[in-house]
Amino acid sequence: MTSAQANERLARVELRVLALLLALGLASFLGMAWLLEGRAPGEAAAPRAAVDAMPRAPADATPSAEDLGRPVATPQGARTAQDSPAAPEPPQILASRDGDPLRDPIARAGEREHYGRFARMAAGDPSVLEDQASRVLFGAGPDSEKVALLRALADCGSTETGAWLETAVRRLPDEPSAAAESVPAFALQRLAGRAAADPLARASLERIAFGPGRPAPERLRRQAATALAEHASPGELARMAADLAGEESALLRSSVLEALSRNPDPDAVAAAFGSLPQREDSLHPTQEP
Amino acid sequence: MVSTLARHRDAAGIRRRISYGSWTGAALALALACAGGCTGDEGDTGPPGPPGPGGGGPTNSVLEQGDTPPGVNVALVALSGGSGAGGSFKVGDKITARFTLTKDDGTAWDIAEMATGRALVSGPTFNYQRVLPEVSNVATAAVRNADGSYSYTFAAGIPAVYAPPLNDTPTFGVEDGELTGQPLLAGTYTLGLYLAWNYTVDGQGFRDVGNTTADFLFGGATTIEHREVVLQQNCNNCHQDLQAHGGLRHEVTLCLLCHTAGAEDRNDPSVAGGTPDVTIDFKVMIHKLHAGRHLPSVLGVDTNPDGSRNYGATPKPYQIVGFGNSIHDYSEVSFPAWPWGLIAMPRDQGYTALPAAAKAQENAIRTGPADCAACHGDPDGPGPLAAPAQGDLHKSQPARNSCGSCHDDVNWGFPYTANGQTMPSQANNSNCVLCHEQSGGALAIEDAHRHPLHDPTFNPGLNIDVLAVDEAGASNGNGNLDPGEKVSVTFTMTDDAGAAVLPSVAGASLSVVLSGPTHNYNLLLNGSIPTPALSGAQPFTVPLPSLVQLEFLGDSTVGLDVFTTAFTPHWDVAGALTSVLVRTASSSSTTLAAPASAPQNYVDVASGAAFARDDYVVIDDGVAGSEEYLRLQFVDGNRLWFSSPATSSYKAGLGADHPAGATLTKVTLVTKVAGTDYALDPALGTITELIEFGAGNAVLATYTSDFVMPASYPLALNDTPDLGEAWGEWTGKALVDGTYSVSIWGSRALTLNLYGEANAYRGTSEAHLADFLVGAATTVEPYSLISSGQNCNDCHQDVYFHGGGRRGFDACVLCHGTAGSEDRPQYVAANAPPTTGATINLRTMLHKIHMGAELANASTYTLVGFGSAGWPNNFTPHTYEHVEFPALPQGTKNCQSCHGAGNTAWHEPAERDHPTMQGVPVLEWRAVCNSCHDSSAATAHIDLMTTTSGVESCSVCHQPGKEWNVPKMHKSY
Repeated sequence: MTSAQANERLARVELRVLALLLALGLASFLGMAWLLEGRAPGEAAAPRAAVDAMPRAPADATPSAEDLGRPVATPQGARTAQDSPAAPEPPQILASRDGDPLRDPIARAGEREHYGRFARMAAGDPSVLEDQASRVLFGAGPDSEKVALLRALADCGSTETGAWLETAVRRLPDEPSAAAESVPAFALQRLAGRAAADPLARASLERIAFGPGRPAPERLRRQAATALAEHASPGELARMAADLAGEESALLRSSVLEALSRNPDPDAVAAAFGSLPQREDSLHPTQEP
Repeated sequence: MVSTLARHRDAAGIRRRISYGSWTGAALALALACAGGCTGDEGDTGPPGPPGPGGGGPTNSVLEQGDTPPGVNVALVALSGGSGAGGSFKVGDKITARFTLTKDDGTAWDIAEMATGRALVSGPTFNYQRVLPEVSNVATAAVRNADGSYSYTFAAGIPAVYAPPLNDTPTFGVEDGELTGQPLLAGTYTLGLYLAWNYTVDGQGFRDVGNTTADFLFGGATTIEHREVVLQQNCNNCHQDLQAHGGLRHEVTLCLLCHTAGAEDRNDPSVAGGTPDVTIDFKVMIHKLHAGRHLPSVLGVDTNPDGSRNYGATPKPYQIVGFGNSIHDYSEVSFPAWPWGLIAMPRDQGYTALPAAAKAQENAIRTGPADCAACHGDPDGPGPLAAPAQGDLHKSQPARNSCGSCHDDVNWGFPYTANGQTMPSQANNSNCVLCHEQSGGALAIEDAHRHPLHDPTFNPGLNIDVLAVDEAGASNGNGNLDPGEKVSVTFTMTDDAGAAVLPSVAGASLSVVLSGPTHNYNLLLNGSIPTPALSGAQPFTVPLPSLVQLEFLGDSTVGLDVFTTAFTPHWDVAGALTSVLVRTASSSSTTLAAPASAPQNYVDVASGAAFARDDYVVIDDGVAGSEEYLRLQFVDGNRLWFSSPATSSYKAGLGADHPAGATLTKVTLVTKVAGTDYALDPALGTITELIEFGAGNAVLATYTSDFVMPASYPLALNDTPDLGEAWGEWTGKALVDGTYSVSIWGSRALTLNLYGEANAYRGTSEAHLADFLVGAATTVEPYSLISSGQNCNDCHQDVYFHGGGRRGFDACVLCHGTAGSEDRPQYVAANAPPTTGATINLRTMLHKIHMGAELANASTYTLVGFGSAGWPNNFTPHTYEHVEFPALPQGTKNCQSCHGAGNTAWHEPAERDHPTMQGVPVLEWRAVCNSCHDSSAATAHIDLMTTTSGVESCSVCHQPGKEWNVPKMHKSY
């Protein structure tokens, strides 16, 4: 018997055992779900974390001043865990989540297909998509569906885009894999991309990096702070200097200090932070070696 | 006599059956004839009979994945009906097209099986206008001729004037080449004909399509002038089988017959806000949609009334509204021809003074498609095809619509100022050639589109040819490299004219990478050859270099000591100087929390709190044989990271094993001065104190010596524990006999000073890869996962990466072909995304990048690469959601596009287990299949079909010959 044949035989045996265990596990799980929650087998469960029902009205898109304050800008009417200690109602789960994902055409679809569906949904009226945002973002669908939704919101010109991006960063689980960055990381990248021209996006980044309430994972706070440092206005820089003074993460401080060297207003940076750190160009050349 | 008649009848019957398209019937008839008592001679076969309409009943149109559709081949035999001289056509003539309709096996189709049959006439070829708009009754109105061909006669005669273009509005007119309502010009006109047969594959509908066109003379013209500005193969180099409109149209000449001057998209005000100025004129539309993300209009750049640029225009997506009011957005399309697409064309005057956002817009414009020859030139280089006969028209016929298609920041009603010159507003095309000649000046079309790296007066070229790879120094002399033997390479350096170039032309060093074996590349060396080490006449023969870092030589004693390094000689030339460091102090200390084995590139310690990036540390201080020094690249809590072969800035990993509890102490190292503090004998590797280093102080050396084939594989590029032997990484395992490869390349540093701007370029040589044998291997087995690196160039023209510092597939494969190689890790760029488990190995990365938008996780597949910012932001995250693989149909299912037509490596992943030291099976199928099939459902399937011990069962169903084998499942329709 060759090693390949041996491996194949071993694989078959292990697969049979796995299949049996999976079948037993699935039957137990469905039975428990039926008993505990009164749901039919296959019916989707609510997300573990209690989630606010997200409203649809747009966040204020026209800040009164260049530097926005600190209030959390989730979509209007949305409540954070802090301001809503009572358990909110879970969002309605999309019917398409029911059933076997291998047989479910939506579950099998990738980001492109999800995006196409959302784009069609939003054609001519972004509010139709905004209506779906909470259910999709906090539903049991694949990450690709949530990413597609965020993209579609932006592309259809929804004024809620920034708020939903921030919500995704702050409230969805940061679970990257080798195949994909997490939804929060994606949302943060999109916010960072808007930071140069959009004070609302910078306000979101500021809240993610330094704001009160449910803290984002440190790596996301770090990246938010870095993106903010690159584009922060004088007022934002001054607040950032104060925030950094109390910041516990040395790496976050290092990331911000480095990023400040790219801020287009060095005088404002100097006013807020004093002299800038030197770049480590000897180890990190500006041209790829 | 009876038998002879019967034979003749049978023979006739056989002929008829063959012509009916049924080889089965033919075989049956032959069998019957023989069974009927074939005796005597066979007699004459007789002349071939005419093809008849398809025999054997309707063609099976219900196919399964893997089945091959019959093929629809339509060929125009003759055009008749012309009443002019020599059969040329006049106004009022009704055109009859006689054509054949056959399957791929040569048998005839019954035209009644065709679901679609359309024909149209446009012309003249030098400026196509619609003449006889498309008719769709060919399949029902064509008459079968006695010879099996069909004839179709247009109901309408050739009109006196041109028909309006598609979706015509007053937006485009005469100045755009539109001749609606004007009398037909004498010239060559073209009839297009296409038929389609519908079928299903596993329930999904497809079309099997045949296209053809034929030119004819009209109005006294005497010479056929076929339109050939591009060849079909120019398109198919990337698109494989160009097709559009649901697969109905394949031939580029057929495209021209509808995409005529002045033709527009649907321009429905309710769709995409209306698209009132979008033309689908071929020469405009094709340029624009291939330039998508580089178009000034898309980027928000236009021209002010005074001729200056306006970088604050409203960006306008390039959208075409098509069938069913579908919106086709090409705003993200990037033409893959390089170097244009990656290495920007020179800056325009004033670039440096632009704000950052405007620079970004300019940079996008400067990397737009300018490789005119990719579409208008010889499509197969040294192959049998010639360049399109009229390919040079793109240089000799500048016009507002064709040039303005890409340069759409030009407002023809305004002047246009650039680089100190101003083009006045242009009311028509008449003056274009006055300034924009074919070649010979800055405004000449050929010169303006030539990439500086292709200009021999600027970049004379650099070519490195490896002539030999040999054993060096003490060896067994058998010609194969063995562990412990040094490797010498013999190579030449020439320019594109073949003249030898001085090593210094390539700057400080050449790059060299050595990996193997070819069936599962693992990295052995990633280094550089200092050019000062190259001397004398060419060819150069040098040993491969190896950088030895922080080697502990011993402790200084009272008196002037002599230390000897482990490797000799020291190269000690510029770019590879020996440095001696002396430990002068110790401070914080901790212990290893877990055992650490060489060549591991991190240690876990009891407490990392007292340590920081760039600290020097000693492990097992004072323990004979174990004391070693390293430099920390990153402190991640209680894990202290060193480095990997990806950089020479830090020692990669441990040189010795250390037990849990071993001490790790921060030390201060002081660099000594050669000639003052010590004397070096490079040949013997001796370092002699000239000034006392201090009794008890450890002495270290960092130096370049000759590379020695190791006994085991070192760390992978950007190595982390995330990817190990399950991914084919053989770090720490014994060297495997086989074919190994070395690749060398270099770059000229070039600066183009133009219009007051300095443009830095790298004139990089293509990497030259040479294979050699290691151990007991006897046959060179080249890397074979693709048939040739040239396959990349079919689309990319010339592969460049990493800021232009790597060129050609052979530069890619020895790093990115290696198992276990990862993207930039957080120990290099601490603020980077972790991308845990992401590999830059081509078998995964290249599939994913080319899947791009087709990935289930398109926008979130991320690889971290080089970044020009300082630590910890020295990274760039790359995503590929905008990549659309251009092969048609069905994109990345066209495996042969990259692997090569005859290559079968993609049919089944080859085994990559280490022959003697493999601990867990290599995930051979997952590495490739999961790269494209990345949805959670697909990943769950792979997980389920992989045992807990890591054995994959994929071959049970997917190996060649099995029900769902790879070629079958990847067959595209």
